[in-house]
Amino acid sequence: MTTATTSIAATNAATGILARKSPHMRGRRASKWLHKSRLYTILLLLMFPTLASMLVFTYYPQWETIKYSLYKWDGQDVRDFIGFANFEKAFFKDSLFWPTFQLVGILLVANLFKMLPSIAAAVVLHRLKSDRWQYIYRVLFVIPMIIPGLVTLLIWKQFFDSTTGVLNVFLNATGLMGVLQWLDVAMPKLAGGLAPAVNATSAAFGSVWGMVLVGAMVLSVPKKLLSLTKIWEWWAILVVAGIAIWWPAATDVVAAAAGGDIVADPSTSASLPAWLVASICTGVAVIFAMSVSRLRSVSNWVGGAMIVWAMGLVFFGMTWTAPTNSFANSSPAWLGESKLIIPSLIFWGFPWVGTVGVLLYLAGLQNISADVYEAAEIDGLGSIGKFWSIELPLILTQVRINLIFMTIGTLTDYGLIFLLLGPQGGPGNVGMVPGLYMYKTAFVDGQFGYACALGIVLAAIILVITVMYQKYVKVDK
Amino acid sequence: MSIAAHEAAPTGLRKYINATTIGCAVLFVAVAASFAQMLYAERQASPAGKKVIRISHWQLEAGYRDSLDWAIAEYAKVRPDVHIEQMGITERVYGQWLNCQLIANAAPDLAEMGGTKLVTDDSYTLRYFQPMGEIVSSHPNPYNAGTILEGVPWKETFIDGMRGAYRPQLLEYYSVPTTMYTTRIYANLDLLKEATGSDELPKTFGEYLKACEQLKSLGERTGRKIIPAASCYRMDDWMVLAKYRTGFTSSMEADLDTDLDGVITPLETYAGFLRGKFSFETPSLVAYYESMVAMAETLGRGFPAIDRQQAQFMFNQGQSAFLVTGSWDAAGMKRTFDKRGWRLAVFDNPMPGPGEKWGEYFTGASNEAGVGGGGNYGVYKLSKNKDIAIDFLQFLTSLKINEEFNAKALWLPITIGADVPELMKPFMPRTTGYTAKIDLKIGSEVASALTGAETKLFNKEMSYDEMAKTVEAKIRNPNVGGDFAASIEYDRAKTESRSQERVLGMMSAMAMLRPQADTAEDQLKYRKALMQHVRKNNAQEIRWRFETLRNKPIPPM
Repeated sequence: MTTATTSIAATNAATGILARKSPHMRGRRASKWLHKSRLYTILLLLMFPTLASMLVFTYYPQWETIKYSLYKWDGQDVRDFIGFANFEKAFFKDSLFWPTFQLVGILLVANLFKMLPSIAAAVVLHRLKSDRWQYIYRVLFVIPMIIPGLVTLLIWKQFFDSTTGVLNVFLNATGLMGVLQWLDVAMPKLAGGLAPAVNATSAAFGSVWGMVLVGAMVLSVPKKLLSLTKIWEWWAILVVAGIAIWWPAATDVVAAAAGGDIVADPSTSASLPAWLVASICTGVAVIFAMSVSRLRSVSNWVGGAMIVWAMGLVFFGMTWTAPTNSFANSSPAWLGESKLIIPSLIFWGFPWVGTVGVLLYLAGLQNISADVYEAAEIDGLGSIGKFWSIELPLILTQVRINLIFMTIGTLTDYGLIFLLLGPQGGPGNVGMVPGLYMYKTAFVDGQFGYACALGIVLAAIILVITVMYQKYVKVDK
Repeated sequence: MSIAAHEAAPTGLRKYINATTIGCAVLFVAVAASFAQMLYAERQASPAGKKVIRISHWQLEAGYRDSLDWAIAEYAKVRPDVHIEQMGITERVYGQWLNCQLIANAAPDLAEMGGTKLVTDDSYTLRYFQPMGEIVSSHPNPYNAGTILEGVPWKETFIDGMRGAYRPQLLEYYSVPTTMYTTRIYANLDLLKEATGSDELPKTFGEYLKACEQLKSLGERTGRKIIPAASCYRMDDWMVLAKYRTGFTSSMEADLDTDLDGVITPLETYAGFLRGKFSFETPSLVAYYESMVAMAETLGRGFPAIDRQQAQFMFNQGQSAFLVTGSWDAAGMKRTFDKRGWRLAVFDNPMPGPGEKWGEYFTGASNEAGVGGGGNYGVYKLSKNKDIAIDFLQFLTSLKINEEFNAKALWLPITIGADVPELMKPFMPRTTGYTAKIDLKIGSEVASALTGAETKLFNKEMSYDEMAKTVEAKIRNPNVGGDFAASIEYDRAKTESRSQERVLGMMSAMAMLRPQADTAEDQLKYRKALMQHVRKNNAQEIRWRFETLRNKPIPPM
């Protein structure tokens, strides 16, 4: 400390001496500063319109959203400050908001798979030897971008039409409608057969999704010995994810503790803490076990098997549990029956080759140096090997960007569902997603302040997911 | 680059001819052409030396714009110094469009009122539209000279006496109706005859269901895809449900309508539900839902996915014998049927008759006397030509012009004495029947759950008991159900009163400071309206009712 002070004093003294001794040097410095400040002023002036626009049109509305989330606001004159009451309602009293995330979760998983055709298309395009054909295909991919979204929506709506739609005509012409009719009988039977397995898995892991969670943890255990920090990190994720899975029951427990009514099955609420603790302990035990060198080699197999088993139970034991009776007359109303709406939304956009996605991946692929491919060929890598070892890792940045866009889009978009199913989300509110719920709360129910609070909650969730993507979806190039 | 390539390189102007320059040139020409077209259209729209009146609406149905053009042309004969510009905006965006125009002080002189809160909300109506109470109440329509309506005050020349245009909270008229709307069922008589052997329209609900069964059988026999009925607005509350709910539940009025205003509000329905005046096991309510399931069955499975265009397509293609929609679609339907050589008819929603299933629970049809006028046009307060705009409205609603205008559009005239086209006669409002009905949309979440569950019930994806259980659980849920709806309503009424009292206080202070300013008629009227509103809406009544009924304080919002 003393040394540092002395040193600064000495420097100041030296500077003072220099300044006193060389007035022209001080002038040069001032002129240089003036020159620099002029440059900065010009740059700032040039940036001003953009900054001002951003402040006015981007940040100001967001600030207003945050502000009004603390108000009871009817969109017009009634504005009363109510603190965090809107958030309290969102977390503990609203029985519709959180269930909307079930559909969004399904759509997120589906959209994850729907990204794959775009990657495949980009790789195929990239590998085309003829530049001319590559150009033609690129143009063909861009053309759909000029079709207005509403037209695309109407085309798809017509596609799903029960009487004249292409889908039903195709299914009937190819005999696939018969397959669906058969599945409508066979799948519920299979689900009935798997019911004991579903129950057993749920008993062991709190729910089937608990098993998926633990499986994912096991699968993603690093191959090197876990450091203490890593373990805490994983543990934190496990707790957060566990809470998310058991959230509906957890809200009941909190409500019951506060003297409210329990809406869900009381047995679920009662067993919640036990299952939560058991699940977390199991997960942590597995992580520690995996960190032991002898077991590390089997972690992939164990984790993979757990996920495959759990997802198998989800698809075959929990999804098609009762006959829909929708295919009996050979003209199912894909957008008119609650049980067919989610499959229709998932099928929407088939074959899911998105223009922007393809072009984005293609740009990434074109940045890969030819040397890398030559080296791979020397190493004897085949087409599939090149994809897994070179192309996919090197476009992971683009994948991450698309993943973020896709996640934000899935969580916030509601236009399609609104136009197809109306503000209530169709029969049984089955198509209700968070964005649509937010819209309904504001513009149908007139609770603008509460809708702002829902928007903040949604933004926070998106932020968390984005941070997780940034942290975990990357590759060491 | 090779030497050959160098040699082949174009020179002079040719070197600029490539895909990029051609693309740019095409783009430039397109922009220039659209700019020129815009200037031309602008010039055409605003002929020199003429006063321009703009009239906006969302009635893009077949025939309406043509008939309005006809009325404009007729008006030009009377007022050659005026040019009227028609602006048809699609219904989906009309609200947003008008919002922008109003806020930007650039609204059309005459705007069809609706679609946006800036029009439907009293305070905004007051701000943006011209009060017309004086002119409609005290002055006759000069264009009715020589007719039976000569000398009659303008508002008394309308079939509804302009009751539909009256804003009770503002004690004022802010718009003038030009037509009337009701909803009925259109029928394809040829298809009906093919299925039933007779082209007689069903008179009762039972006959209607029987005809629908016969239509289904026809489809099965011939291999044609026939869905007996199509509905432009699915099982819409206004078009279908409310009509039947009135008949089935109006008998509860004496028990539920506690403030005796002839309307059973959602909170009154909730109060009656809690007091055990009715439940989901009440026979008339069960009968109502059973009959609506039967009605939905005629629309075909998956009817919630069918929108207006698809429903019209099915009817126009002969896939459906019946179409549930409003009077506004008549011209389009008639045009298509005339082209195809089919016979078109319109009939009232058939109700369960005596001796028919559900007939014993059905008291009678709903009353449409209060249907009010439609196609209401308001005069923009900042219009420079308000007098001409009002003059055009008088012209449009004069006996001969309104009759012809609506006949051309195949809509219902609003002026007394105007002839109604034969096809449109079944659309004339029914002036007898019942008005009160229960309203189970007790708060926003209950309404959402009810709509979702009802759709599943009508789609036969849920049983009545399951639906009742779902909705009842929602109604009884303390966080989102009836209690919450009551607290919201109480809060809304309280804050609204508070806000109005503030405005009233401010206006009173201004009146004391500037007494001459207070003599302005609209300010006086606004003060009266506010006082009436405050008296009515002080919210204590809601609170008192809740606390008496539930024996606990009204929950905080």
